[in-house]
Amino acid sequence: MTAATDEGSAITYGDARPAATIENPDDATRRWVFARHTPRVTRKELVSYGQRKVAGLTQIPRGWDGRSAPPINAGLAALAVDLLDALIFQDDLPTPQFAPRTDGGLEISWLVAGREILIAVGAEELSIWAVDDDDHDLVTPIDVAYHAVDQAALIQVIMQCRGVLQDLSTKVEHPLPLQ
Amino acid sequence: MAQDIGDAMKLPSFAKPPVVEVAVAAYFLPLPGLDVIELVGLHRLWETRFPKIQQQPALPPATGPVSKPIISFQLSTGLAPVRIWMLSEDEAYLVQTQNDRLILNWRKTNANRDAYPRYSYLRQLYDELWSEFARYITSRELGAVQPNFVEVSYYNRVDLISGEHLEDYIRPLDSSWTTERKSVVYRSETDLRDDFGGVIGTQSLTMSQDIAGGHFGRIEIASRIALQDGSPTAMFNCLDQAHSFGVRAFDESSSPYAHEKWGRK
Repeated sequence: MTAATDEGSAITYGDARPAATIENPDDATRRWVFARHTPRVTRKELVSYGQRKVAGLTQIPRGWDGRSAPPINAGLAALAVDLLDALIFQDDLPTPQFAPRTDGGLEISWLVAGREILIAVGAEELSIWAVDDDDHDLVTPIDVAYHAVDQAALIQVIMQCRGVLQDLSTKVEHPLPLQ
Repeated sequence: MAQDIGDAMKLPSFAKPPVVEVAVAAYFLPLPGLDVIELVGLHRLWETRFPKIQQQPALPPATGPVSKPIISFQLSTGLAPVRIWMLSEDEAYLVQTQNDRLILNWRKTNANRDAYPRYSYLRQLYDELWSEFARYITSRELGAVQPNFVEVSYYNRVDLISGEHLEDYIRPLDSSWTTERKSVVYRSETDLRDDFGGVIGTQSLTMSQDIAGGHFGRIEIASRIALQDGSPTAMFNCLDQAHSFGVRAFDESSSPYAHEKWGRK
């Protein structure tokens, strides 16, 4: 963030500094980095929390549903962690919730102020969608078998979900403690 | 360890095995927080034994032996994952870590020409590394260390003297094949099963001879076992199983001629 190659950024440096830089939002290239507020929860803490929750789900035994549900598949759990890592892109995002699926997959969801994001990592297919309290789509949803996953569509919906998460982060009234 | 010794008693052994590299590995649920800074912190724990450090590109996600197929995508919130090599002074021992695996390699090098230190030694060393690794991850609050599958791999180099061919050593290779060939490759993938017939892992066996590149053959055996639970006891039991499957495959696929040359006991 403060590499020497930042010489070309629009931020002033040298003798004229730093009042002009305070207004500059160019996070990626700016030369001066000012202290911010202390986050309620850091990105690292939230990703670590999610990883622990997924790890816990992988320990549930076969038949956990009282019938014949298989344990959570390790490959699907790894994919869930990768998706979580991609979605939680900054500090102070809302806390996700986790649930096992009876097909050996798992679900990650956020539900804040009537808006919902759901990541369903199923045994055969991946679904990602987000809706508002009127059930209107907030993202371009995907619901597709793994062999047919389109990388561009997947990245697009992840980027859209990031935007929804960022918006949700301003609406959290009672943050869930990370345990 | 008791099981390892018991297993070792039942397994064939070789006085002069042609092994030049062994890798003992555990693959675990990704730890996104195990980034380059944390990996360097981890190295501080081990720098007495592994003083050299190198950065390598991360390896792609590994598919477990009974895992669902996975998809991967390129999207990062920060820096891309990295793999760190930590090497002993003579570079015979190598620890490879990235955010989803911990691998211990032993290598016979031109400098050391060491004899293979045997699985029981590598297992003990790996046990120490794994315990320290797990403690580090916990102390740094990087997530839960949840191993999914283990792998024991052997890379053997068979130096052939004049008039010898790899099929002299390897049973699956038909000795009636023409001597005009430029290369020979045999590759198999096998399900590994428990005593009840259930699939618990996979084994790949590759044998090749590249005459143009030197008069020697290669035998690679990699055995992967899926963990039923993530406890250290279960993990090391599975490592022992993978080792046993590998030794048996090596023994069963090599010829009486090879057994005599390698000092089978």
